[in-house]
Amino acid sequence: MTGIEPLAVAAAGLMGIGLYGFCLCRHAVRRLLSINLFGNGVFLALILIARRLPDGPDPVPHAMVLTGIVIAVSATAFGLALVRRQARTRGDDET
Amino acid sequence: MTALDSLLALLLLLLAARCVSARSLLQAIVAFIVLGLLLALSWVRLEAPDLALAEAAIGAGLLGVLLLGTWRSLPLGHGNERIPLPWQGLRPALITTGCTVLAVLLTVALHQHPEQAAMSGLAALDQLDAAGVDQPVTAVLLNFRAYDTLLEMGVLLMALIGTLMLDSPLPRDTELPARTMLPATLAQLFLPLILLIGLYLVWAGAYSPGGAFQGGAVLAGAGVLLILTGFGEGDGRDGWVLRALLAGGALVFTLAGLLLIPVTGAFMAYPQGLVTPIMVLIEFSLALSIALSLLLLYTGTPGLRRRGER
Amino acid sequence: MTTFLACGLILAGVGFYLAGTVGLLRFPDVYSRLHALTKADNTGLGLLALGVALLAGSPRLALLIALVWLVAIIAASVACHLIAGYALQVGECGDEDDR
Repeated sequence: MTGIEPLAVAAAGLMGIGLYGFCLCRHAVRRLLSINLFGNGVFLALILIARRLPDGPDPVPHAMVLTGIVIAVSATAFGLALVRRQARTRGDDET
Repeated sequence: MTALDSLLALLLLLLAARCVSARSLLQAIVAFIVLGLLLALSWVRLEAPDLALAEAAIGAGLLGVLLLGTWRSLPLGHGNERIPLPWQGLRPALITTGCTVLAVLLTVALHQHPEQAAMSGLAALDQLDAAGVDQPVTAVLLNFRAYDTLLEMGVLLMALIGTLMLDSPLPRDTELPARTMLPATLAQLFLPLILLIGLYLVWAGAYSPGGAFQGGAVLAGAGVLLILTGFGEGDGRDGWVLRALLAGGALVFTLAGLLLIPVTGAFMAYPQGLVTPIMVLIEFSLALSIALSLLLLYTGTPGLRRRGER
Repeated sequence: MTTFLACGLILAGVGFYLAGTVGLLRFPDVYSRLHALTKADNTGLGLLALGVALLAGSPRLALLIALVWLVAIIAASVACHLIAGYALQVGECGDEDDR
């Protein structure tokens, strides 16, 4: 492996941008998006590391990322339900 | 092929920046969905077809539907905000510096060669014959690191229970009734295909890319399609069949681990002769549970029913 | 010979895609954008699929590619119809910054 690996840069960049968004966004949905960006960066990094095994890609990080994708989506769905509930409660208060 | 990788990386970064900086929430969500699709392409480039399948079905498809549905349930203009640019004030500047340093350090770290390969991966590949399935990723998920998968099922169910407790279902499509038959016809045409692909993916997990997660996600997608085209809808009440199917994945997994303790002497160890049928049974029950959990996470209701049925 | 033909088809397909994307970016309203996307991209997809099927070499793969093409084209047409119908129903709801 010589030179710069573009997808490694993308992984690190996704993590950086996700953290930036998480720190500066105020709206909850945007924060959820930012966390997901960060998570995608972590997944990318794990899979890049998994390629270093000499005989075929390492299945353990692959399985972990697969688990991680499902966990991320379920946590995000829960967060979105919270956002909807909050919006509804606020709407009830205003009327 | 480095050119393709570079293009992908550039697009990923541009879309991520767009997702964070777009003023309208809708644009941010759309950028995120497109990013998910490009990420699926990146997984293919990184020799991870399992992940590409899961990402396309779950990350881009299901999450996209959830995000868009939530966006529509928010009041108009809600969530539109201007993110301060790095040079507008001290705090953004500091955060930008921190994030840039983090990104640069991570890039450097990712480029460094470790002295030795990961032992767990080598061990998994060595022992593949004992796992009962030929596909390394499925073997790790269902056999070598079965605890992870079992607990993941638990997390999925917890998220579902939490969502149900919040009682905030996605809004039904009331203000714009479908004027045409086309979506319903499309759903009727595509459903058999989708079901076939979903079940095939679960079955294929034993020897090629695929498995309970990808298959379950595709089956959940079929359910979302049914709801979007008006064949079914979320219901406030749930039946015991649904509950049994929801808990089935975790239950079968745990029971298979517990009941065989007298034979093998350890939790979640399977005797050599029985290992393949047990793997297939666990995989199918997991897929059904995952599909139903994801579908109910989408509707936000404890039950499902046909449209118009009370 | 087959390779040349396939490359020609793929290049033509990419050209159609390019035209469709330019149309999407440059046209003023929803309907003409959809027009650009569906016409040009469906042709592009067809040419691309034909080229790749020629390169694939085995009839099984070619059939699979044909199936993908068919499913994609049906889904694209219905999606286009739905978007146009929605735009007609609510009227052109201005620019994207409204919501």
